[in-house]
Amino acid sequence: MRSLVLLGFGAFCVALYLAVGTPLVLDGRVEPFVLGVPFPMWWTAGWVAAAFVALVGLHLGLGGESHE
Amino acid sequence: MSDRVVILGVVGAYLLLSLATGWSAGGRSRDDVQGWVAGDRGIGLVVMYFLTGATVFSAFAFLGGPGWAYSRGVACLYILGYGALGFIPFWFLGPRAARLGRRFGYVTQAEMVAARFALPPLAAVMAAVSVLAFVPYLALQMKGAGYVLSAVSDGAIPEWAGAGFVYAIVLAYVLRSGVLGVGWTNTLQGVFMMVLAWSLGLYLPYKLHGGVGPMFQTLAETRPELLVAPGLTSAGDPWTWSGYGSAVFVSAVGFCGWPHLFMKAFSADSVRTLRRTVVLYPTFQIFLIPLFLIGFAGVGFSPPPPQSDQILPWLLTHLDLPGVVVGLFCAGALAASMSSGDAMVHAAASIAVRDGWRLGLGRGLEGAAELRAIRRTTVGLMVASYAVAMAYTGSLVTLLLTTYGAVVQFFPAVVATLYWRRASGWAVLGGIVVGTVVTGALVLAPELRPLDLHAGLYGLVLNLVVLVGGSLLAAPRSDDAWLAVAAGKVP
Repeated sequence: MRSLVLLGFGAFCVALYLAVGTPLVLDGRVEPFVLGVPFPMWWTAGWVAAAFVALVGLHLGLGGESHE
Repeated sequence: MSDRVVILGVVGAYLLLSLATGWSAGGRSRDDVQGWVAGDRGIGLVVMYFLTGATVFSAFAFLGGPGWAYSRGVACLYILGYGALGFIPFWFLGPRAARLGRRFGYVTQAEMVAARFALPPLAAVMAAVSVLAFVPYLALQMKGAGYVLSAVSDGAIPEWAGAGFVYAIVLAYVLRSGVLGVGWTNTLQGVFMMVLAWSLGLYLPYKLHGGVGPMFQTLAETRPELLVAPGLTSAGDPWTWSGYGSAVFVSAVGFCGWPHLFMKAFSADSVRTLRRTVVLYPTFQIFLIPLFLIGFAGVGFSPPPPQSDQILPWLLTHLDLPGVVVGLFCAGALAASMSSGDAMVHAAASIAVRDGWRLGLGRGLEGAAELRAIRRTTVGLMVASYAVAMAYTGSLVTLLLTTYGAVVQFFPAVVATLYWRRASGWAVLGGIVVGTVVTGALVLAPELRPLDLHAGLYGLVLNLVVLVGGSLLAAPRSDDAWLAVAAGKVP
C-alpha cells in the first residue's frame, strides 16, 4: 500500500511538471475563457489546487507523521 | 486631513503593530541559541504556515509579480508552477531534519550536513554561500521598502530614510525575539498580504476595465501575445518552452535549498506540524493570482510606469484613490518586504556564527557568548545589506540570480545527507562548489550556454555528477546510526 501511494504521488509530480512546465497542453492556447479568464491561468491554478489535494492524499495515505 | 497624512498614519499604525507583535513574542522562548534560533522547537501549525509562506513571498512577489504579468504576460505563471512543486520534498526531508535536530541539537542546515560527514569545511562553504546569497536578497527587500514609502509620499520620504526606518523596526524585534518574533510578525503580515492582494486584485480590474472578464477580453484584442503561454522574455520576445520549463524545474528544486526556509524544520513542535504545513502550502500560492490580475489590469494604462516592477504603486498613486486604500497597499508591500527580510537576517546571522565561525573556523563559542555573537552579527549584516542597497549601482537582480543559482546547489547535498548511505562528504562539497561555479559563470555569461536552459540546470547536472561519482569512488562510511535517527528508527 505504501509503495502504491508513493508511486502514485511520484506519477502526480511528473504529471504536474509536464502540465505546467512544458508545451504539452498549454502551447499556444488562450481559449477557452472561463468566467472571462484565459485557459492558461485556470490550468496552472487548477494544478496548484490539485497539488493540495494530492498532498492531502499522500499525507493520509502514508499515515502522516508515522510514515518513513 | 490631507491624503499624505492619512497614508502615513496607516503605515505608521501598521509598523507599530508589527513592532508590538514581534517584540511581545520575545518572552515566549528561552534566551539562548536554541530559543532564539529555533524557538525551542515549539512552533505550532498556524505560525509555521505563515512563517514558511510569508517568508517566501517577498517584496519581489508583491511588486515583481504584477510587474511580470504587466510586461511578460502569462510568463508570470511560472511562479505558480514552481511554487506548487517546490515545497513537496520538504514533506520527506523536513521530518528527518527535525528528528536529527532534536537528537543532536542542530539548528541550521549546514550544521546538520557537516555533522553527518564530520567535515567542517563543508559548513564553512555552505555558510559563506548562504550569507553571500542573503545580502543582495535582503538589500532588494530594503530597496522595495524604501521605494514604496518614497512613491506614496511623493518623495517626501527619501528611499534611504524609508528603508532605514522600516528595517530599524525589523532589527529591533528580530534582536529581541529571534525566530518567534519572525514567526508572529509573519503571521500578522501574511494575513495582511492575503487580504490586500485579493482586495486590490479584484478592485483594480473593476476600476480600470469594468471587471476581470472585460479586462482579459480587452487584452485578447489589443495584446494577445501576453496571454499565449509561455509568455514573453524581459526583452519582450516570446519566451521559449525550454527556458520556461527549465526555470520552473530549477526554481522548484532550489526551493527547499534556501537555508532560511529549510531551518524552519528545526523550529516546528512536531513532525505532524511540519507535514501539515507542507500539505497546506499550495493554499498560500493562490495568493499570487490576484497580484497577477493587478499586473494585467495595468496593461495599456497611461502614463506607463518607468519600470514594470512599479506598476502596482504606479496605478495606486495615479488613480486618485482614497488615502486609506493607498496607505493599506503601502503597508501590504512593507509586510511583504519585512516578512522575508526578517527571516533572512535572522537565518544569515545564525548561519554565519554557528556554521561559519564556530564550525567552519573551529572557534570556541558556547552558550551566552554564542547568542551575543549572533545578535551582533545580525546588526552587522543588516548594516551591510543596507549599505549594499543604498550604494550598489549595478543590477541587484543579477547579483541575486547568481547567488540563487548557488543556493540551488544545496538541494542534492541535503537529499544525499538525509537519505544516501553511500554519500561522501568531500563529494558533497565538490558538487556544491562545481555547481556554484558553473551556475555563476553561466549567469554572468549566458552566451556560453549550449542550449536555452536555466543556468542553474547546468550547475545541478554537474553537481550531481560530482556528488554521485565522487561518493562511489570514496570509501564507504559507517553512518548507519545517524541515518537511523533521521528515519525515526532510533528514539
